[in-house]
Amino acid sequence: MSTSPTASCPGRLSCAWSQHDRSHFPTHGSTQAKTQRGPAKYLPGTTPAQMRAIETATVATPGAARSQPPGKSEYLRDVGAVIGWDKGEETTLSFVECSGGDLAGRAFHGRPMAASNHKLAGRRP
Amino acid sequence: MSGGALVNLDVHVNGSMQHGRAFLTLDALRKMSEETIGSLLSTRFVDEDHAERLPLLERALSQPSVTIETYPGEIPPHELHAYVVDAEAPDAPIFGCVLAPLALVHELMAEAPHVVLETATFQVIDGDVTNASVISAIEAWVGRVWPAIRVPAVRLSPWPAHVEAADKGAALYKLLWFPPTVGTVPSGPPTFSPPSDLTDSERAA
Repeated sequence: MSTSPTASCPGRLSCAWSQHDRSHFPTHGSTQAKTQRGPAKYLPGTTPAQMRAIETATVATPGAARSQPPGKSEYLRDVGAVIGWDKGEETTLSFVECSGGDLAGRAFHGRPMAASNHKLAGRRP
Repeated sequence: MSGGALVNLDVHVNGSMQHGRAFLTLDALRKMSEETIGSLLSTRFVDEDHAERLPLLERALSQPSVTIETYPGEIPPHELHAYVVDAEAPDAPIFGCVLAPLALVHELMAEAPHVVLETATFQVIDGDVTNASVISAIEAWVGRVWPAIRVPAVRLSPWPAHVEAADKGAALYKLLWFPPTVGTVPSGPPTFSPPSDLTDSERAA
């Protein structure tokens, strides 16, 4: 899987998309209910290329940034279609965070996020 | 050992008995001190989303024995997503961690940040993926994340069905990781011989 830096997130820091720990990747046997006591999941059948495209578009969308470097930056975008499950709910929201440093390299990864997720504190894009 | 070779280093979370291995290349190790890696692990050990599940998991794992459901990822190299069956709510297992085969570690190493860390939600499976190595990985995960609790006896329940017999479990994992090929399917003839009349007619033609 390639990891070329994107022009966004932001380009000057050469952030690259990452699979992270794959905890939000779909699995065989995934169910919406399992996200109540487990990590958010992309819908079954979502490919890494699709996840990367969703998350790259999120970091590139004007106004999606909720916080900026240095440190961890976060991005939120309403994709407009259900992309996965979080907290037992279907969700259309894509949440991405970018972190890292000079030595370890900077990378971004994301996940579907329910509107009820405490991280959003009631705010939607 | 070449600079691209994979090495691992067991480091502790700052001020804690919790620990995990960092997998990185020898080249990367030359550029990073153990302190830097320890700091990185400390920062990333517990994902914010996972923090609320840790007390639930600790309670569930404090039993003498525990059932772990595993679900294979859809994308090769396949990871396993491990869920701990909570005796108090058996229908709602709690996500524990992703169990990663070494092939996946190698793939993740190719991506930024080029260091793969064993965290509270990520555990590497050593060696080939078998029932024994998966159980061993789960035991290692419990021991790393909750060093104060006694590691329970682990019973695996791999997707798609509860499989209790060790031989059935082994067969399932073998199917998952080594899909059958024409050469390994036990039924059917090892070679195909066309009917003699067909070969005769072809010769005649």
